[in-house]
Amino acid sequence: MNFFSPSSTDQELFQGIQQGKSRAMALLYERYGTLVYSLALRVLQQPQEAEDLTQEVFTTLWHKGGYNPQRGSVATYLTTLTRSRGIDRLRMRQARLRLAQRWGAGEWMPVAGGLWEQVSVQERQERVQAALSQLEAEQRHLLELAYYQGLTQAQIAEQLNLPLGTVKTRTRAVLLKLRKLLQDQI
Amino acid sequence: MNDSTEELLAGLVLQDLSAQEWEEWETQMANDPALAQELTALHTVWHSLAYGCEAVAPPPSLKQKILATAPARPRPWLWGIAALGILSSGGLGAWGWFNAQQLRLAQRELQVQREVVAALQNRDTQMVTLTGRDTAKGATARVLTGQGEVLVVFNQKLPKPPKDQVYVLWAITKDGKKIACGKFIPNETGVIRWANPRFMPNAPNVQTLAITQEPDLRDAPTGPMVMGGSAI
Repeated sequence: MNFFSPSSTDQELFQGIQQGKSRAMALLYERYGTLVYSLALRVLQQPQEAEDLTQEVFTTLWHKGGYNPQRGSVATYLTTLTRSRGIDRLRMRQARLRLAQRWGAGEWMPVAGGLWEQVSVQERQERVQAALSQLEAEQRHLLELAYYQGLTQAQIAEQLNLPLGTVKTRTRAVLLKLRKLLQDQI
Repeated sequence: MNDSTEELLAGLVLQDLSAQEWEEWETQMANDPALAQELTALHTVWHSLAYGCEAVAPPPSLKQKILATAPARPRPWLWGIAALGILSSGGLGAWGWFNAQQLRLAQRELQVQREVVAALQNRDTQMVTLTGRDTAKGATARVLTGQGEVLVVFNQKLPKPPKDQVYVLWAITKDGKKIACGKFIPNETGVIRWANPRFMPNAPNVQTLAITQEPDLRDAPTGPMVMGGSAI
């Protein structure tokens, strides 16, 4: 039976997916497909690879059922999986060491629910992009290297030709600044 | 919270703590377990960067590629056969069987209601109301059409047709042509659903709908009209 609608919650859709309901997967894809694809494209910089990764992420959710609702939201599961698998691909592509079994069984970190999970993907994008626009370009660049490219602090220091201690201090400071900018929303 | 604690939290999220900082963190955490909450919030900020990149729509074909990988699941009727096997093996007594039937009916009704609500919530859904005549006087039916599906929602005043007869829903076009959409016999849930109807009642040239009583689904109506619809 097909009782899912665009107003169904993520949890309802996930339950539908577990029961093999393609309508539930279609709705979840409509809700998060652009978010996952955008992030995959940002990390990998290649449309075909981003498409493959998006497919991998959604089919992982569908077939392997690795998502645990008690550990966080569907959106966080999808974005964390996209980032970690994307960085994995980057590292393979660059013939570097594969990401250590850091994501292992869980593949994602627990995050807070609450207000952040109650707003739409578009609102989250607007709020985060507004907060990021208040950072200086250099600060944004540090976060981008760490988050989208998955570089370690040592690799960032090497790339920017800065002392490791300086990179650590600046990256921590910019993360805390972003925390303050998003203070009332997370 | 002081600056050094904040720095430790940020270092934890960024996974760049030194051995000395790890020791500091463990000491602080032991004294103030509430720090875990702040750590969770900072993790959320870190993960919020997923929303920081420019939104790009994926290629339209990707959705179908993903949906085409649907895992094979046992079909409902197979569950029915399995359930029948359990019942026939004497696993449940008559009372248990009766309760299971009641529960299944209640679950089915709930599911049907949710489908109707979902259809009504969908802005693309079109609805036509039909009112009963003669033997079905006082009966009303609403035909909800959208997303390739049709729901016929009727009240309890619509009687079951005589034996060997069915109701047929017709779409009547602007030039008077009558096209059968599907056949049904009223059930206990008050809702009939067609996932792939013979003809969509919301096709562009359809002017109104009607329900007649027929021996079976046919190309043209021959039996009496049971319900008539308003103009679309």
